[in-house]
Amino acid sequence: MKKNRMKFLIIEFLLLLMAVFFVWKIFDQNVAEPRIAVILPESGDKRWDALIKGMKQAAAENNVHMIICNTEEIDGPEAEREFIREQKDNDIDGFIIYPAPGHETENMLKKECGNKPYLLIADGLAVKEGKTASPTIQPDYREIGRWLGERLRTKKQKVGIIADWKMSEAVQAEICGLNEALEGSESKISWCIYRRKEQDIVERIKKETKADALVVLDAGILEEFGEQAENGTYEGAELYGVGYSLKTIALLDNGNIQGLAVPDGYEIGYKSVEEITKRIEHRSYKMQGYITEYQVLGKENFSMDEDLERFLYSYE
Amino acid sequence: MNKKKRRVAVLLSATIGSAVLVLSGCSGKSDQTEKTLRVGVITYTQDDPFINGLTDELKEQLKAMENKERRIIVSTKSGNDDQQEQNEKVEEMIDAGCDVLCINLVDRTAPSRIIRMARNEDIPVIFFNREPVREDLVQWEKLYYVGCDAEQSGIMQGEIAAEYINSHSEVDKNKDGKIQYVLLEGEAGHQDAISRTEYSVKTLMKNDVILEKLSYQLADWNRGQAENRMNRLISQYGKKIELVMSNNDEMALGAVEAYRKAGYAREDWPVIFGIDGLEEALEAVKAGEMQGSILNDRVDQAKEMAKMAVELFEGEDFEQESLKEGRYYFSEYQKVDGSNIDEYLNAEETISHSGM
Repeated sequence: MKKNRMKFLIIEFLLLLMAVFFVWKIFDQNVAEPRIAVILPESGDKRWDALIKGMKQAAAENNVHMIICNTEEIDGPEAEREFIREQKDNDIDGFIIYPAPGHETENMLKKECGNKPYLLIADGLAVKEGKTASPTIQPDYREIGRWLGERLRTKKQKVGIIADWKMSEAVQAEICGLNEALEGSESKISWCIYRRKEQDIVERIKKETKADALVVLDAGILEEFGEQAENGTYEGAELYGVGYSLKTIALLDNGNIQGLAVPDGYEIGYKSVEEITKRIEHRSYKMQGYITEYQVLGKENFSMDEDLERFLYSYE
Repeated sequence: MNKKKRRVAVLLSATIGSAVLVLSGCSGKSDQTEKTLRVGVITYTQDDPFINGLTDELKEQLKAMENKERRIIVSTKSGNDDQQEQNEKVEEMIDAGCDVLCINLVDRTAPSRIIRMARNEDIPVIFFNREPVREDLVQWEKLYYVGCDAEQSGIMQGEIAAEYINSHSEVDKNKDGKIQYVLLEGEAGHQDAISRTEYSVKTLMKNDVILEKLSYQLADWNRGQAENRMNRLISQYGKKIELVMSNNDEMALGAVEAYRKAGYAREDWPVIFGIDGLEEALEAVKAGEMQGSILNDRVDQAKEMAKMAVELFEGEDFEQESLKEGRYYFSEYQKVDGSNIDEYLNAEETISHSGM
């Protein structure tokens, strides 16, 4: 009688364990995927191809549902605010954001994102020299600027700069690096144009003095000028700049662009999703910024080695 | 007891009253809030100048329709010549929130998944430039098509080419009474390419032009590919080619480029005709490098798409009756040749004036 009771209790205990296991398993499978909204200006533009590819890869590996917001040009914090508000209604757990230009962006992000974590990519928001306000995943733009400057200091030339938004930290860091590298050389920066919305940049350049070299820090304009370049120059000026597409690399290979820095968009995308996922899953986790890689390519020594092939794979 | 009841009644009416006030205040506020129309545009590629021009025009037209109460966000993506990728982009757009979709299909015979996804979320779809087959378009009442009748463009191209050949005997360089021609085709099996090819050649023959076919070449609507094909044909046939008919201007410009590079004297060039009315092609007509093109009125199509998108979003006064079968809008092609090129060279101004 006692034996039967023991048997009964053991079986009951085993059944209870099994029930607990299955209940845990059911709930474990039903945990909703974290939802991350990605806010990039002109999100369909091909300059984001490698970045989005990296994000998708990391999202698949981390069971994250990624929402790429439908955007157009984001010219200030007001426009960005609308996209954040829209996605907050879309049950979002966190944001990955390319910060809009403007001094108010940081405050706006803090206010609008509230308790939802957000991570900045590709461009930071500087509060003080060398100190960023929020964790940012981006390449070292100052180093990129320095590399471009090193190429330009080899001979005496007048340099013209065409840049994206003036208030972009990336642009300011690139120009700072460029200035540092040109210091003490015979090359001088003659002028710098910051792109404005709906501005005809070709007409705008005509108002400036003739440059021997153009440093184009706006990837879209670099592609446009590279396509129009003939015999290695655009309107008599050699082209240098920062690009994000296979097309700019092909233009370099073709001799239309003389020097090119290509940030690793795939790495920026991959790391950003990985980092914010950690934060969403562990509330105590403190997100970190990262300096990502970039490739520098010069026309004279351009060759397709294995490293470059691997790097370019993410751009395809 | 009565006092107690009265007190409860007063409390209740005060609560209900203030709730009504608060709620009406809220609804009043939301009436004033601006609405946002989110239009998602997905093209078949980023490398087609006609489609890029049409998309830019659509953005401009939509932006012009913004007002204090209605904000319009236009987001564009590309299918990169891959229907599977285009389907995924549509899914992403719907997932992120979208009110109207404008789709330029990669494969006009494969819109089913897009239609299914849009229907599930009740998002109207305006297909443009690449017409889905009728059976697909009639699947749901919120599917529309904006474009042109490819057959008409083929007939018009044949007409301007015939007119030119019949009035310029020097086109028949070898004086054999026949016109040796090559044809640059868009895509294998593409309905527009088939119609344009078929009707341009038929119309030429109908207008007493005796033709001798040298070669038909597929160049995927692309300038670079057309230039390569023409280079090969030039080395094969030399000065024998008397006429180049192209399914679009991009490929016609590829042929122009091939002749420029081949270094032939202008009198040894064949006559070249395209379709679309791209600005570069019109400049080539003006310069005498091409003899004509058929203007595909992108401004008119963009205007119609913008109007449809806004009306569909507002859900009122949608003028479905003005559309053929309640879902098709075909804009008219226009012939452009040496006789009227100045009128069309600055196409945008010309079209917007004539549209007024």
